[in-house]
This record gives sequence, structure tokens and C-alpha cells, in this order.
Amino acid sequence: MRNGRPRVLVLGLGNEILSDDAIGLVVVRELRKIFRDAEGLEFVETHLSGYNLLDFFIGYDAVVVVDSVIVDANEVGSVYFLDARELECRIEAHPHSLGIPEILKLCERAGLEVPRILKIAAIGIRDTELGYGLSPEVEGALPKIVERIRELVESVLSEIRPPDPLGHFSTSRSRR
Amino acid sequence: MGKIVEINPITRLEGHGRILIFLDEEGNVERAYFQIPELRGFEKFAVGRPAELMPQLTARICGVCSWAHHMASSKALDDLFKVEPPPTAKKIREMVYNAFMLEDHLFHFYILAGPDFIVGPKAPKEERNIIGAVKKLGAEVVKKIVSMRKQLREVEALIGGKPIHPVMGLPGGISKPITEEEREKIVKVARESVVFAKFTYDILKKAVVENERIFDLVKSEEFTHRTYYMGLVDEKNRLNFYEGKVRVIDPRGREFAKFDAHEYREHLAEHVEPWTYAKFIYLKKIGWRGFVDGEDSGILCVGPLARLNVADGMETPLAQEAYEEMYGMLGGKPVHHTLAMHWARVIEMIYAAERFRELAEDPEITSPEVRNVPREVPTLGIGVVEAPRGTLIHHYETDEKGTLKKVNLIVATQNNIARICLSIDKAAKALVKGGVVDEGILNMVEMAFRAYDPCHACATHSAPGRIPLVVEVYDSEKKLIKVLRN
Repeated sequence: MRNGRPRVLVLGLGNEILSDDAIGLVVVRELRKIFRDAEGLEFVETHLSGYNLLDFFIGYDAVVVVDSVIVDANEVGSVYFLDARELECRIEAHPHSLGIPEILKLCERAGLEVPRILKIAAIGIRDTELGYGLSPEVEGALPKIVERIRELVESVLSEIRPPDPLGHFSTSRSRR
Repeated sequence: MGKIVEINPITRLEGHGRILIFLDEEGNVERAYFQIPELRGFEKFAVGRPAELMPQLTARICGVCSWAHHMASSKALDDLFKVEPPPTAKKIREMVYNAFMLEDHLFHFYILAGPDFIVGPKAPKEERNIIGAVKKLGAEVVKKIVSMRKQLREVEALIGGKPIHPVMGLPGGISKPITEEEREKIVKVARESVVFAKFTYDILKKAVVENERIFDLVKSEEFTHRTYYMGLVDEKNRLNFYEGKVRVIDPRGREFAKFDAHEYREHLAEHVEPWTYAKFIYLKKIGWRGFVDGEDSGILCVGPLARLNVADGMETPLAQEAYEEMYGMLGGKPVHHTLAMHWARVIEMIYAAERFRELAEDPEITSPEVRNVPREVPTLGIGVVEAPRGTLIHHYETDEKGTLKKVNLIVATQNNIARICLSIDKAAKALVKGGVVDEGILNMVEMAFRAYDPCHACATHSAPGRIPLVVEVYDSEKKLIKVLRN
């Protein structure tokens, strides 16, 4: 917490040059526009992976990770919500393979302050071929995807936010 | 929600860390293979795009070492547009690159070497991992690691122009100079990083040198291959990550070749095997003799140990001291022990920190002259750097407008794959006999993996980011008889 005010990060993961793998980045860009006035709410897009994500988990009270997941064709565009704390922690042989649950465990063991809330929104995709731009299926589902993740961010904000008469964290949309 | 989501690492499983062991009729190992993925199609994807885009585009190939691609690409662009960056631009590039090498190495040392050196190879499987290493190191040390890494990343972001993805490299220089105020911050981090590197070296020494069992393991024949080594050296044949000539030494430590990046095709060739898309780099003038080591086999090795082996010494004093100590203790040059890569990595950390400090303290570093504008017609550009895992070459060919016509990238892990296969073959032959598979093979393979640190992180980025090791054993009729997973 900084100045007693909680810090919330919305972290988009993906790779711009792998077609639908960019969805996490695209969604975060959209959310940034929606929540543009919200104080204490930060948006970051990254193509980093593995242990490199550790930096993003320190210093925040809540983190919402927006990533993609490979699914069957009929599930493309679906959004799955996971709580990182409920995911199985699997320590593998290869250090690049540190995933979110492993990073959390590592931080906790080292006594580092980790986010109280860590939610993952995984967007169903199929196409991760090299190329710019989303597939028509994912592009078409984008408004719905953004809306569902916006709701998740709102729910995280209301969970973490202390009673605040000034209305910090409220979105420009909800303020209207 | 009420829906179970099964997340299979499909995008990463294909070919990732897949080990195939083929047995003969007696049930002994005929051949063991290791499959590694490549970012297939990237070269083709880049064709038709403006060359100036490459430092940003290639930085997205890998979620771990963006800086290595960004820097190799920026150097390829200097060459393509035939423009030499001003001295300050070169110094800033080298400075931030050393900060990156240090940052990458420090985390890898604690994570990679952690399970084997800090926890110990005989510790129970549940403890022989990064969490076990964290426990053993203690929370204070881990906080120190995390804090150092954070500061280094802040320096990278400050100089790189954008947090995370660098946008500084341009043909003929960099996008912005460093102010005196920024330099002050950088110097502070650089000085602290030297102290940190020394501290890490003490941890390594305590773990390896003062532990007979681990020291013996490092020197054991099981983890030894007598191959050629390759890496960049400066004009005094000292190690340099950012520029110089590519030097190759033979398994006896004699200089075999020293060449400019432009001549790489005269020295390096690619061997293709039917069971993998990966291309095995070997020394053209020696030739491909199959998966064997020795002077007659063109198999080579890159990365921290290779760089130390090819260099006549280190340019900075503390790194030189550590370098002499390692070779003194391991019986002189070259060192062929795969596990000594961890040791070499820490020596490189000291060098990276010292060089980082040296450049940060250089008064010329804040000069505003950071770009020479290209005026020549582009044709061919080749750039080389030492990535954390070894020599990385970017090769571009364009039309007169700078539109890419041909792209070729030789990444560090490609140079090492053949030697990794040797390690796996050795482990398989030691631990699979008469059709009986000793499950200890996984540990042996994992240890070799951790030393090489083959980079699998190319591009795909789907949850949960897990890379499994799978060992498949086939009988003489190519029927799958056993599968082991970590």
C-alpha cells in the first residue's frame, strides 16, 4: 500500500507477433481506456514470461493477470477465471518454467510481500501462428471478453477498496 | 463458474524437452535424442518488413532475453546501413548490455545452480528445486537478490527508453543520451552490483569448493565432453559480451579460428536430423561426425564456460582473479565439465558488474552525441553479441530501400544442441541397461539442462508456462516401452 491507498495492477500477457496470443495485451489496452481516471490502478502489457513476472507481483495489493489459453475451436473467445492461489504449485526442473503459483510460493518463502488478491483471466484462443492481428473469431468476441474482464477488475476493486467517500477506483463509465 | 478448466501446456509440449531413447536388441541404448523447438517461420515472417523494425520485432522472439536480440539487431542495422555509432552510443549500449547480462545471470545462478549446488544433488527430490534453494539461502539473501534485480531492471528501463521492451537501438546509435542526473542513479546501482557479484561468488565458492562431493561431481566424467568452444573476444583476446571477433578453440585449448561476424558462414554450418526441426550448428572446417566429442568432431559449445575457455583472460581485475582461481582449481584450460558452467556464469557476473561500473563512471557516457545518421544504401548487415546463453548472430539482407529480403538468426541454444545431445546420450547409456531404466536418468538430465540452460522461452506465451521433461524409451522395434516425466 502506498500512502494507505491500495495499488492494483492489471497485467496483460502476450506476444504481439503471435496473432491471438496478443489478446491479453489488446484487452489491457481497452481496459486502460475504460478505467482511465481510476487512481491506484495501473495497467502493464508485457511479453515477458516465467520468473520475469516476479517483478510485477511485488508492491501491489491486488493483481489481475490477463492471459490466453489454448482451447478447442468451440471455446474460442471464452473467458476462464482462476484464482492463482488455488492453482497447483508445480516446481519443475526447468527454471524458465516458473509459473504464477510457483512465483507466489517463492515470494512467500522469502518473506516478500505478495498481492493479497491474484486473479487470472484466461481467454480461450487457438491461433498462435506468427503474424500480427487477431483471428476473426477472437476479434468478434472482443467486446464480450473486455466486458467480462472489466467486471472482474471491478469486483477486485470493490474487494480491496477501503470505504472511500471520494470514490477512488471508480471507473469513468460507472461514474457517468 | 462451476467449470473445470484443464490447462495443458500444449503449445509448449510439442518438442519441448522431449527426450527419445532408442534401445538395441539387448535393451541397451543405441541412441538418445533431445528435441528442442525452434521459432519456425520467424525469418519468413520478417521478410518484406522494414529492417529498422527488427530491434523491436526480434526483441519479441524471446520472453527472457529481449535485450540480446535487441542488441544483436541494432548492431546488424549499423552494419546494414554502414554507419558507425559515436563512441558514447557504443558505450551506453555496452553498459546497459552488461547490466542485462548481470541481471539475467544472477537470477539464473540462484535458480539454476540452486538446486544442484545450494541444496545439493543428493537432497530429496521435493527439496531439489528453487523453493528448496530459497529455504537454504534464507529470506534475507533472497530479498537481496530480488532487490538487486529490480534495480538493474530499472536501469535497463531508464536507458532502454521504455519499461520492459527496449526501444533504444537505431542504426548508427541510440535514441536518447543519458543526463547527468540519470548517470548518478546508474553509478549507484553499478557500484552496488559489484558488491553483489562478489557476494554471489562467495556463495558459489562455499557451495562448490568447500563441498568435496559437489566438487567431485563438477569434475566427474559423466558431465564432461571434450568439444570445441566459441565466443566473442576483444582485440586482446579478452572476453567481451558486446563486440569483438568470434574466437574458436579446439578441445586442447588451441586457437582454431578467429573471425569477423561477416565470415560466420565460412566457419559454421547447420546439420539436420530427420527427427527434429532443430538445426545443429557445427564447425564447417572440421565437419559433422555424428554425436561424438573430440578433435575430429565439429560439435561446439557456447555460453559462459565457452566464453571463458576461448578468452585469454578477463578485462576487469576481480573477474580476472576469479578466472584464475577457477582454472587453477579445475586443472587448467580448457575446462570441459558441463557443471562448471555455473561457476563460469558467476565469474561473468563479476565481469559484467565491473564493466557496468567502469562505463557508468566514464565521463564520456553523458555526451549528447549518440547517433550518426545513415547515408549509405543498405545491402547486407550482420551483427553478433554474446547472449547470456552464448553467441547470437543476426543476418539481414535488404533491397535499396531497406526492405528485408532475407533474414537468418543463429541463436545461442542452436550452437549448443549437439553438445546437449551428447550429455543426454551419456546419461542414457549410463542409466539404461538391459532394458532396465534407472529413474535417476531424469536427475542427471535435469542437471545437465540446468547448466546449459537451453532457452525454450521462444515466443509462445500461454498459461501456465510450464515446460515438462519427457523421456520416452523405445525398444529395438521402435515400440514405446516406457515414459518418464519430471
